[in-house]
Amino acid sequence: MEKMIYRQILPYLPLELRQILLDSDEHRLVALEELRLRPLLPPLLRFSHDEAFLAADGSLTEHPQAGRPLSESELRKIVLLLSDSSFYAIEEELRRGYITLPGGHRAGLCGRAVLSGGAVKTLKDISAVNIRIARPIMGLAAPLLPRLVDANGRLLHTLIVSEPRGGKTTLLRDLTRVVSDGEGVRPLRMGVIDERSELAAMRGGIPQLPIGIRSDVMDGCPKAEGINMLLRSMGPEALVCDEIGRPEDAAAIMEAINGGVKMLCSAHGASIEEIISRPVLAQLIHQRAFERIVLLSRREGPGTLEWIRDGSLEAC
Amino acid sequence: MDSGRLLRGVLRLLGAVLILAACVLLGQMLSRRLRERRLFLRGCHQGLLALMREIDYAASPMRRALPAAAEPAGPAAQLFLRAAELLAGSPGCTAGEAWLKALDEQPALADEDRRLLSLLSEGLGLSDAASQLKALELLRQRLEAAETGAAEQMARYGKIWRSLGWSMGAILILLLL
Repeated sequence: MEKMIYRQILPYLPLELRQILLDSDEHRLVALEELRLRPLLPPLLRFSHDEAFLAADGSLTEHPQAGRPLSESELRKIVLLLSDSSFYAIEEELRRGYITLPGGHRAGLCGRAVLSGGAVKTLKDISAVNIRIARPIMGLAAPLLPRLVDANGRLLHTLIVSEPRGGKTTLLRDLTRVVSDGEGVRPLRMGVIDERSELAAMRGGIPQLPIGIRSDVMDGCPKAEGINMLLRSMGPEALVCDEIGRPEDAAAIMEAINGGVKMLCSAHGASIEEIISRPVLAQLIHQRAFERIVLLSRREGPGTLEWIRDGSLEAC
Repeated sequence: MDSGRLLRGVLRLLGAVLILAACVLLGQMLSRRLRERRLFLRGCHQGLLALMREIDYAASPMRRALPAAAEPAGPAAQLFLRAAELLAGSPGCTAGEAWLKALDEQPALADEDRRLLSLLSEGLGLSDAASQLKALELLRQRLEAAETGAAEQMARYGKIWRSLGWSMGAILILLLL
């Protein structure tokens, strides 16, 4: 079994369930993407192409009736372990609906929302937990890097586009790491605005995913505000934003570019038509904010490179 | 003949001194146990108050809150520190389980105090701050009552044990001589 799951996921499970997983098919567990846990139902294991329920003997089955149901007390213990026995200390995480675990994994939580002034204050009576396994892929950016720098080896303003689960965040993270560490490019001081906590997966101020030695992270911060804050406070040479799309994002990005800061961004989109149909992206492309646009797809698996174009959408 | 009588006299005197010393020490020990129980309960009470402050004002996670609670806990500090140690060092161990294990490692604890303190393990860290504080406040009140009871016991029986030590020693000497 993959050591990472031993070390980073199993300690969050009650002893009996942990033992069942240890007895389970190692080769399948290596490819585990999600572990879904609900009371009185068997744990559901999701892999890249299929899913299965966990039986009491550790076997994986398609039939829920053959699975081993999770007891309510087991779910309570899982929640306690995920919250480090400190449910009261993770109100911010509960408001967002997930807890970031060491290693960058995420435990999504469902339960009864407690409202305050119409907004979710926290969650109570947790009814479902979904542990999503993070697997940072290193070396994804290296083959693309020569096409994302100019003749002098300087990084170009880059927009990475893909459909959901197409690999844009993974590529953006690896690109951040490569530039920050100066692997094949002049190292730059990077400022990462990680609004959805997906790029760096910060936990207690420490990035759980590799983002490079010269990277500062503004975690959970709206992009436009984060760009301005980092510009004022950290003097970045390049800024990184995941999933841009709001009008205020465009204004902040243009301000950063005009200030001489390189931009590495990502956005949703499955084709050139889809990109230019989105007003904010169309505006940025029209203003020639980006010098390189990279389109990825899932055609041959996540992160399949479709094309790289220049700021005027010409092949390059 | 005279020297034999003298030796017997010295031995009797020595025996009497030993009996008296043993009885006095027993009395002192029983009295000290009452005092130590009171101080331990007071330490637990102070530790619990510090734990409540950590949860309420700092929202510190349990592995930081327990060592912080140990600081004002005096003789009970080791209990909080051991629970924190077990929590940090045992993967898959919850704060409640760590607390129970730490309590088990306190052999001198009276059964009623052990039962009372084990209540802390129930749901420790499992709910939001308001619910945690409510549960901890209930336990704090019971601890306070136990501490008051222990103080009364100490005031009432502490002197008695000490005096009894002396008296029992003297009576035994008179009976044996």
